[in-house]
Amino acid sequence: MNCADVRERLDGWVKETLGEEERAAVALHLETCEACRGEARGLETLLAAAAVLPREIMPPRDLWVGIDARLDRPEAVAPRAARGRPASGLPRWALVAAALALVVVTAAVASILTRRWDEAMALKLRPPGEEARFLAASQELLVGLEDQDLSPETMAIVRRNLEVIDAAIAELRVALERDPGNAELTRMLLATYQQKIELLEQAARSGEG
Amino acid sequence: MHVSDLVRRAQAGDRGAFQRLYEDHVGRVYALCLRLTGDPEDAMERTQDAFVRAWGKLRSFRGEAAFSTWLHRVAVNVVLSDRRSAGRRERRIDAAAGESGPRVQPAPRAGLAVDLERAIARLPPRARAVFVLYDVEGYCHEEIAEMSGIAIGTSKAQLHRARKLLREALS
Repeated sequence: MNCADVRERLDGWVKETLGEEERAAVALHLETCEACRGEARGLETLLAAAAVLPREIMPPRDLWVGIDARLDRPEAVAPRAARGRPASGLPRWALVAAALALVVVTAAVASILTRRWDEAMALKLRPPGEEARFLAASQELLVGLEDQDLSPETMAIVRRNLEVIDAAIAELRVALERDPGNAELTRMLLATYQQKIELLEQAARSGEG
Repeated sequence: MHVSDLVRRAQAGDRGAFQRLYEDHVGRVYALCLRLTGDPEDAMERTQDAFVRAWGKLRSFRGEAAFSTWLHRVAVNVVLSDRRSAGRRERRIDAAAGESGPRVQPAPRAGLAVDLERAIARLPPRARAVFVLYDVEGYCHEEIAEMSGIAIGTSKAQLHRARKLLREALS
């Protein structure tokens, strides 16, 4: 065995999981190779330190209150026995309904925004309630998607795209806070909301297929 | 009350039982989240996310594995799937590295375990995640690759990188 062969097996050597023959070959090499012995010692020291790290660390503050407050929200799909849902994930009709709700809610947001924009340039982009409904509906849809049999690759693509869209929405909202009457920013925000809807709809459709 | 009784009650919607499960397991979940994120505030957020997610998925727990193992897996998935947060953390670490030189600095001497915790927190995010899952939590490369959405070879390469950086930091 040369150095490369031995270093590939050092993990097994230190954890004593090598077969007898391999173990003997590694031992023979270590007897004559100072560099590989140093590698083995370094790995042993590191793994010994990792093994004694505390298994439990208490958080600096109690987190239960924050958790308890979120258990009723759509992000925490309540235990399905309590909600009368099947145990195998959201039914497809629920996903479709969520997608439709998202469209309707967002259309309402768009309508409100557009009307206000037409009426006055002093636009408020977060009508209380409407945005919360939008976020709740999109969260419900996302939770449902996670229960679908989408491939990890597809989910990764969906998540990556959502990140980009959410980042754009966040930036536009910040910009509109500073400049509430900016019509171009408003158009861009509505278009970005629309992109999010389309992405979620596409993902829901691929889950049905 | 036995953990299986608490789980059954929680599955039926008993929040008090779920709170007991939280109290019994929060230390392990927070330790995992802290090591995976390298940031206490982030770790508290992810710990909350993990318990909220666990509540939502509790009906899918069939008792084939220990509840703690299942909850652990939920927490790992929460942290690893939080790509946006990971991106934030990466940028923050990159920015810090830009100010102070290499990403992994020699840790001050204050006991090997403390040094190691600090060095883990300073690792690049992906290398940190693989090291924590493989060398601290005992997952295999196949499991890590599946949970992280990376190739098995990438997991091995990141482990090698993490160990090398940690040894440098601790030497």
